[in-house]
Amino acid sequence: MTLTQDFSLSDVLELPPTAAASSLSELQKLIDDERERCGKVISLPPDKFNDAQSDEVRVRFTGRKSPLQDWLKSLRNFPAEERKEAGAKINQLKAFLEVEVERFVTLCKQAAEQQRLNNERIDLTLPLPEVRLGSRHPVAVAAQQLLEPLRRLGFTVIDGPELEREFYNFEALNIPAEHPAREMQDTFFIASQWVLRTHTSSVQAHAMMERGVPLRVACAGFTYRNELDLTHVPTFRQIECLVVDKGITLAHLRSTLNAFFAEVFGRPVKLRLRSSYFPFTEPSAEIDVQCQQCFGSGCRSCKHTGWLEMGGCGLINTRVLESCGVDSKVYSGFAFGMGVDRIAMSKFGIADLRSLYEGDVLMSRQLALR
Amino acid sequence: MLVSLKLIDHLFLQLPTVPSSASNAPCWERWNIGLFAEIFTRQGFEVESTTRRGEAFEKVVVGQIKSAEKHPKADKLQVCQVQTAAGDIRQIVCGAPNARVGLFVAVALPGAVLPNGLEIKASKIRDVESFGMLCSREELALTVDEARDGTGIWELHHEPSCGLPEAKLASLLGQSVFNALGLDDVLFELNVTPNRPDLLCHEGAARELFAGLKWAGQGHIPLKSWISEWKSPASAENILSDARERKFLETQAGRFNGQNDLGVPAFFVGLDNVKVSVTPGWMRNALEVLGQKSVNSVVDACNLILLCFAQPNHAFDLNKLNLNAKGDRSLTLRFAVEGEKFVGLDGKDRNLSASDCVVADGKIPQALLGVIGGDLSKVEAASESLVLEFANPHPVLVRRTSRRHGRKTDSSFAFEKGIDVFRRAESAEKLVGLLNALQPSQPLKYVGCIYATNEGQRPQEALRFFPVEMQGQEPSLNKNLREYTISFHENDMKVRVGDDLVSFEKRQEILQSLGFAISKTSNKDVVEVLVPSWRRLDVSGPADLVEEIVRVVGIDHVPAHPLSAPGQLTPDDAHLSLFELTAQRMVSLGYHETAGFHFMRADDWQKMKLAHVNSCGEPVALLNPIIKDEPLMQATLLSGLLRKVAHNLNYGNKRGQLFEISRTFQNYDVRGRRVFADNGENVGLGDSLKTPLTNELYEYSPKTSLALSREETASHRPGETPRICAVVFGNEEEKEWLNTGEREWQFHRLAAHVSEVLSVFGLSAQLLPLPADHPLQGALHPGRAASLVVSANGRANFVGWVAQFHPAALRAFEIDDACLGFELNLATAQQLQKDIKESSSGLQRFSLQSQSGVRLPSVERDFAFLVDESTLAQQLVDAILSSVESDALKAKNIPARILSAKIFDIYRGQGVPAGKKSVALRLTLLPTERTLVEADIQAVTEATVSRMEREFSAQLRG
Repeated sequence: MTLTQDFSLSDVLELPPTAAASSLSELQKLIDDERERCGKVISLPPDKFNDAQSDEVRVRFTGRKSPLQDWLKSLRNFPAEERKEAGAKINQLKAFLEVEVERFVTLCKQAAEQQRLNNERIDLTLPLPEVRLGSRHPVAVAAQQLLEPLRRLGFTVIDGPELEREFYNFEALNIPAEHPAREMQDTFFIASQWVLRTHTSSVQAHAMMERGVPLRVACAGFTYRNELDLTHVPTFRQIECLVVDKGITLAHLRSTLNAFFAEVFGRPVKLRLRSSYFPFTEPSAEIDVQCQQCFGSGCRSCKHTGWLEMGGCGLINTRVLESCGVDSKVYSGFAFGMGVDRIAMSKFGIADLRSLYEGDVLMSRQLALR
Repeated sequence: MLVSLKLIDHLFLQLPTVPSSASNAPCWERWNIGLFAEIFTRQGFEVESTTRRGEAFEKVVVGQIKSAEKHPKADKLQVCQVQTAAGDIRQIVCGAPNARVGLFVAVALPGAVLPNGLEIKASKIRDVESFGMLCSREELALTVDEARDGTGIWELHHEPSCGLPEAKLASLLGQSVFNALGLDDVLFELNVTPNRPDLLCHEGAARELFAGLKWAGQGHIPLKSWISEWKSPASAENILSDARERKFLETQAGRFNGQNDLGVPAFFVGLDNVKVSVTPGWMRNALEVLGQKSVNSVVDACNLILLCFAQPNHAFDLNKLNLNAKGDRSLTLRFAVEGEKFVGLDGKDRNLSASDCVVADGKIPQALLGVIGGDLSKVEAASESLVLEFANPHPVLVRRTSRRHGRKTDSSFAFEKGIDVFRRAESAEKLVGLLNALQPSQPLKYVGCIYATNEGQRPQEALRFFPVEMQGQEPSLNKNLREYTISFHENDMKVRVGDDLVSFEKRQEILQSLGFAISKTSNKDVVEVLVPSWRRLDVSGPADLVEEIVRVVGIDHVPAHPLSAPGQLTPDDAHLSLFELTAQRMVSLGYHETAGFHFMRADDWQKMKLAHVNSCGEPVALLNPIIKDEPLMQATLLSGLLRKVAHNLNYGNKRGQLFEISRTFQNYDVRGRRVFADNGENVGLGDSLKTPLTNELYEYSPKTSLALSREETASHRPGETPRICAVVFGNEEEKEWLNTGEREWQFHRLAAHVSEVLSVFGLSAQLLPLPADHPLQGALHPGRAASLVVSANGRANFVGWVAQFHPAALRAFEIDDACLGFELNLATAQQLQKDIKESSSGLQRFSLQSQSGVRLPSVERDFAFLVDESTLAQQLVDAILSSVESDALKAKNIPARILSAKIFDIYRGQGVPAGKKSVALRLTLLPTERTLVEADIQAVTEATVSRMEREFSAQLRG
């Protein structure tokens, strides 16, 4: 064994001559020698011992290589009246050695571990390895963030077809053929009487006709219009909410909007309703939310108006209720809806809506929406 | 709709002024235009922009040339002394020949910035000092018409150039020119909703503003009546009774009659002794402010009536009309003959089609009905006899004609949106009155009025002046207004709004301010409300009246009443949360979610190297694709994602993991029937799309689409199938200091991802070789592609594929690197989840604890077997699972559960004979009651080894 210490361990640990005691006094001498030998070892500095060496110390004094077992065996050589006392002395020594050696070995191990740790170093200047997390699409994130408060307000989230009969997309919503309102929407046609739905409002008609009233539903999904520029893409997402029940009024709509937008923004926000026109609601209004950047004083993100357009709302036109088989004398309702892409744009500060549809990994990583 | 507040103030409503403002201040200072804009916006007509006309010209002032001398060093220049205020005479060098002593001129003072960007400074022109500039109209961004304005600088006393008398100008020296001449204006660009065509004119805008002002407490000034000097020689009643009686008009240009092949209501008014003159300056300005070209007194009067009342009309020069076969002059409303030529007022030659509606004389079309007049019969200075046409063509006819010829005019726009048909005769009266007032000397002669009608179509009442929607109803204009009367109940407000907002009396006042007539009934809670003619297209019931009141009061003032909690909660549509979980799982696997437009190019199938355009099911074609080469709805998400990969590579993103969840579409319904017979014919794909499907569609079968509607006819809907598609490109791991090198994507990594995604649905799929006739077969690597098959419902269900892509397909998308990916049919996955849940005997309790509640540590045992090269991994794992389960655990009653059996190493090489491989497996058991003893492990080992020997002649390796 190569030693690191500046003394010879083997010398220290050398076994005493295999002398067996046959009298108390001889035994006492052996015990004293052993005690002294041990004392010598454990007085050495523990940090000079590596793990193997400290183990060797343990084995020498309390384990296999300890002479104490032999001494105990040799007791039979003792006169009967001395045996008991001799045994007691050996056991006393054994107890002493176990405590002292264990304490010493622990110290050695601690010292050795400390030495090892002192030699382990990292380079804090090295670059961090890349962590590859995925990300959700910003508009999907926005949609979920809008749906969550709606669920809490008791809305059931439903789905509907994207390829739609003109009836559900237009007629049922009080937009008859040749109605000027149809021009508000640049419609994709797929066949005679079939379109790509231009709004999620078509799900209103399905819900009323197929699920019956009372209703409290929200529908989020893709809608299609034939336009493409900086702020319009042909395929975009809307969320539409519909409540039909007995005695529903504009005041209920207002309260729901207040609660909804407070949840969306995480604090009460100022809303402004402006009269407008949608064929499927009456009265109709545009919903503006006070700009959350400048709080109404005007800034770039609200185009200096102090308000951000969020969507449209209104009481459901009785003609819509009737064409969807709901008795408008008994039931009334309200609806509100919004474009999710637009909201995502302002939420995440996206200048060109088209860039959200390129699937650029860099863009996804920078937005990092998980 | 562009609104001039000056025109409103002039003709319709004297706008209230701000009390403290000076009378000579510009109008935007005298009026509270913020309030006006707020009123329009609140009432539903968003003010999209506000323009203060003349604001930029405050330093361009009225001046008078006191002396003008030749420039000592330049022949064409004059040195003028110009008075620009009492006691302020400044020297200005001017090059205009019409600069002369006594002339009132527009002087740009130093500091003024002209529209062309020129900043005026005191300067020296050929050594002579000049302290300003005399401006031409053009330099102030005003139109110049040489006949009216001459050349050179603007002569401010010249009336047709919007000038004022000299006496008046003398008192205005030094004032801003725009202000002094009354050319200052405020223009609102209103966003008019399609239900309010009455707002497409200044009268309508004035009405809305009046109602809003009244509500704001500033409506003490009533709406103006039409200017009395413009009284017409023929009243609306005269005109209508004339039309009823007369069959033709006897004019100075000869006999005139009107014909009608279209059934479009129309009448013609004949005028003689017409003297066409130069348009007065105020009228010229009013038109030009609104972007109209000023032509002459007659044309401009016709346009003014349109701008004021949204009443389109057209004046023809009677003498220019060709005689018909009978030798009469006539105008006929008819369809054009295919190929007939027409030259519009815009000077453009047009070829007409048989579906165009025209107003034709005895020979040729003289106007495109409702859209634009003809160049050959236009009114010019020499015109003496006119015929005014008032027709009510159907909005759709006008729209189509206008679109076909790419010409949108104020007139066509008004017709498309809907005109006030009840006031056609009244507008004719106003036009005749205005024309008469514009005659410089003698009055014009009203000859009479006739309907345009076919022979034998009398009585005239057959032709109504109603929109087509109302045809078949009572035609009379003044009788029987019952159908336009609404009983308005006190309670109508509260049931809709939830609140009264304002008293019943106030509500009535608001309606009156908007032109509704109120009559009381015996019931104090009910009034009868007569809808004014201009609102009869959109107001038909109490709900509409409530909307009117809410608009004026402000819908923002509606209080909030909480909605009561729903009586019962219904669950969301089940697939939504599953797809959401799927997306989240993908994100945790490192994928970025993308979104696309859901379209597909006509040749994408070729790029993907598929056998046919219908390989993934027949795609649905668009009739009007926005991107010409993307006429199809996507049938697979793959082509879209590959394009995104190419985009990334082009922009230097070398690696990435992308996924998309969206629907694919096909022209077959859930029952496998074709839906649109003419699919794609419009975009030239009809023949290839209608090719019957020959290949097996597997997970692209229309029968796997999602039922998204519960309507009875749902089965006749084209299939919509939600799918998830993922593509990875670049290396899975790049070389960096932490690892030893880059790591390429491996098929099995992707397969592991798929398996994690399917576990969202509680499914585990087997990987089987891709069938040779699989739809995507051509796009995928022949040796590195697999179908994902789930056993359920007693059969093998294809849910998707996972593969490396074929390099040829990748190259077609301009991708040179290897890419891998997968696509799953989420509708199938959801359906299988449902089926398995329904067929299983309820939820299996899952616990890691033993029955006594103690959690014991799991035990691992490793084996290595020498097996034939052809032995499949899954077979080995299955055999181990089954042997341990039945031959050991069950047979020997060992209290443990198998947690997993996994292959962790495959070795070929030294010590392994050729044709063999050494497969190392690790079995993990979870003791359920007590620690396992040596005998248990022995039993497990023996069961495994003997099964492996029996089934695969496998040898246990030491």
